[in-house]
Amino acid sequence: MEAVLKNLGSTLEVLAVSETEFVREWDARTVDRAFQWAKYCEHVYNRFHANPSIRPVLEDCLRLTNERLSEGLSGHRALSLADLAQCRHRLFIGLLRNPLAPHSVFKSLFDNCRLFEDDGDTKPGRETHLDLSGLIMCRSACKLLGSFQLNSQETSDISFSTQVQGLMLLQRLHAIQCHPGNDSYLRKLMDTFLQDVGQDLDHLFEVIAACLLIENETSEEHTAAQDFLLDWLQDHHQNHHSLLQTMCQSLPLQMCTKLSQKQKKIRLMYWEVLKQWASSMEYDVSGGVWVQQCDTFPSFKTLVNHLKSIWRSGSPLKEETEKELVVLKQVDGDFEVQGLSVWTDLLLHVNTMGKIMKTGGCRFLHDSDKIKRSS
Amino acid sequence: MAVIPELQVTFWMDKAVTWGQATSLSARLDTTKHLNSLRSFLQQLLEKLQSMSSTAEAMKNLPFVGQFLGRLCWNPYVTADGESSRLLLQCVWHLYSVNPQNAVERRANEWIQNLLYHLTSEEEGSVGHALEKHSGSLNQHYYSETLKKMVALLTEEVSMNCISSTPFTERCSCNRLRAVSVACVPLVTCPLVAPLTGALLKHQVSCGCSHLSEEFIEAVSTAWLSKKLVIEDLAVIALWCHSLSSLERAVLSLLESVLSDQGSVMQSLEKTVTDSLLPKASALHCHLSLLVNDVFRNVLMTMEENLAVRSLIQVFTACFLQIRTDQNPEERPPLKAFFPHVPQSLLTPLLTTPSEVPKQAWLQHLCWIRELVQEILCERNGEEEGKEKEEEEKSRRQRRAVFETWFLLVQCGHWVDAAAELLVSVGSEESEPLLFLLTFYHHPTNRGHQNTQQTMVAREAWSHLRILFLTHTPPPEKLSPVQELLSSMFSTNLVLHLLLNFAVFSQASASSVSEVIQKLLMEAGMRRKAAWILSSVQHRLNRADLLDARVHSRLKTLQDSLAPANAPGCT
Repeated sequence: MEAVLKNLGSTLEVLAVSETEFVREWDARTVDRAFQWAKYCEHVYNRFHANPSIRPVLEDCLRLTNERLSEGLSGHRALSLADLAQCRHRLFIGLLRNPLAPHSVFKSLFDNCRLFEDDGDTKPGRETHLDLSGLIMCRSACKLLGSFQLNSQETSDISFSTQVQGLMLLQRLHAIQCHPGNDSYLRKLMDTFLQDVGQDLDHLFEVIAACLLIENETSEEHTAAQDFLLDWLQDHHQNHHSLLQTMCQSLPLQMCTKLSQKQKKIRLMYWEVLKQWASSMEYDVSGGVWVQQCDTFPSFKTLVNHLKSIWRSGSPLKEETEKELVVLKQVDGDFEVQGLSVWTDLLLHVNTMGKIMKTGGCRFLHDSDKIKRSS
Repeated sequence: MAVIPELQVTFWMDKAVTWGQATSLSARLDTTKHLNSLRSFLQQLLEKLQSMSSTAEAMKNLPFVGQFLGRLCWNPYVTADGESSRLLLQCVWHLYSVNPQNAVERRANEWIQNLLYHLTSEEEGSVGHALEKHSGSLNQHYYSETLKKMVALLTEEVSMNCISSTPFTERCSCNRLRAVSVACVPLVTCPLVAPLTGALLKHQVSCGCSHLSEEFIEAVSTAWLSKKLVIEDLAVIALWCHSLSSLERAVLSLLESVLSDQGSVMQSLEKTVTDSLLPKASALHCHLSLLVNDVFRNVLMTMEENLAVRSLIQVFTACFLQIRTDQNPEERPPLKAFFPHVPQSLLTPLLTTPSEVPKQAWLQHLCWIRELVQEILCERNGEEEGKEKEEEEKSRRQRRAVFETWFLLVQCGHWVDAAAELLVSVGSEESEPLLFLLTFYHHPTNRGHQNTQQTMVAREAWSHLRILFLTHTPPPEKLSPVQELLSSMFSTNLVLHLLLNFAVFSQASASSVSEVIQKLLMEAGMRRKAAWILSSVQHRLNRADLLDARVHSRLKTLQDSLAPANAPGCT
């Protein structure tokens, strides 16, 4: 193992150098050897990444080497465990983006990368190089087919390419779950994943929604991965809020409803989020409105819209939610007038949908008018 | 090196600009429409670039090239197409200078590096990038997995539409399917996309509109003919049901491969025919069979004497019948539907393969065939004698009947081969019906000769050959009458057919037979014809499992002595 770690460290150094001015010294032979080492790293990754006892050793090695390198080289980009799986690509991109990389290096690189060959066979002696033309064609093909929209009812709000991304994510999670003892690895993976997504958070939530909406009938393996994702969403906190809350605000309302319909666990979690949003509201007597006390939580109107979407979905989700709201209202004193209990008001607002002219509704309007006047 | 015309440059530059990133359906359709010609243009451009000594020179002479190539790199309909993508990257690569001499060349290098970065990487800080990065596999593997999933979902959708496209749906799904078929044009040769291509081809619409773009049909058809298509048989057959012109192309391509071949196809004629999937398609769909046979008819009429064409038709029919035998009898249309122009009475004996009849009964079977054929021929002669004007139409119909009878005999040429084989051993009296069939097979018309005369020639040849192959070492004077008949313009094929059957099946020693053949068949064209006849004999024996060791070794000896290496003049 020691030898492996030593080699890993050395390869990391080579990769770091490829992104610096020292790359000027490189020639065709250097590039060739760099690619060989990069391929070696890919092997190491494949061999050990799912092994819970060896992986931490590799991660330590990466951390220490990264620390050492960033001390010596300014602008050094740390190499993560995930990068190891695609080491040659990382090396290639690093060189492409380094304006100081010698042109002769690219010459030998492109000559070797089978950029221009039409067959996918690996030529003897070129196994260490990338199949760039295959990559380009495959990427283009995905772009081309990804622009379609599927007709099927279930997931029509999510674009086709997002659905496929969901499948890919689920498959990845499942692949790691297959090996026991990898729970924390899985969490760490999602955490770094989240970091790498950057500002593209709304899209990430759509991908996660797609993951959760995938049918389990045919592939039971997905259930465990979906459960993991839900736990992670709930447990991962950013700015004192769970990611789940952020997701519920980011996704379109009908998507949240659809998710709740899909699974009891999601329904309960979503309901908890809605309750939390409602609980942090206070009634502003002078304005006659419920005001959200927490900056990052949605307004009363948005909350009503969430519930309205649930109502529109019909039973049993609507029935269950309504029942729980009624219980909360009763616990709060079972008032029928506005401004005393947020549950009462939510119920009243949601039930005005199509029922506003019903007797109860009229009496409520009448009563609330009285209250308003009297206050 | 020719200059690229200004007009052409403007045309392609305009195209590249209009297509952009192929986001609209019209841009996609137009890109796929022009993919073929784009490949040619890129090839032309590449040759031009290769003739330039430096990037600066290329930029000076072809100022449009950078912008043109750059734009194409952003069009996934171009970069997903293997051939276009390869040419495009090669062109781009030719603009890269290992030792840039000036600012233009340095900028070009920088631009190329950026372009390659764009082509191979996702934008950082996106879900796509994060998914790729954390996929735990090689980048290409990640994309091929993604592609597989996309293809699986779309395939399911296309197949599902197949079931749910009832008349009650408000709008038919054809427009959608057509858009998918357009997207598949650059991808037809990609094995990962094959299930989708197959599903599109097999999709049946009830609304009557076409759900596949012409370009898609064209691309699939071309890929199939150039053997670049990895797809299930039924999808290819569905293509032909959808586009009869594709079927025609496939038949012509089969004919071409047989006609242009100098030996290799002949050895594996049956495999070539089976691999073409045309017999299978014919057996499954009657209307396809009729069209294939129409092409064969036309070719046969223009190349009546060509033995390769006859062997092909014969082997094709045998394969067709074999596939039919393997089909569920309840699911297949009646044979009569496949051969609508000949009387059922004739179909029964001819479509029975020789292997289904005990060898002792062959003579009787052939006599039966002969009687039926003669009946049809006599009707014709009767009409010709009458020459009544009002009978002209009837006469025309009967000429057609004779042609169709002959065409069926060519299709079932194994019986003619069987007759030729029997002629080696039968006596004078029994030879009459056999010689009749052989004569009709080789000389169905009265063109330039008389039928009776032809029968006499056949009998004469037969007598000479009997004498020739009875003697252990044929004296040279016995060869010359055969030689004469062989060189006669009107009897070559018939005499050759007889001669080779004697060579294979007579009791004369193999070495003396080889010698006779070498002496008689000097001319290259004749030797090729002989090779075709031998391969057809071999095919029949193989199929019927009649190829015993003796015949096999004789066939081999003969085939070897006819091989180009043993031709007279070659040492």
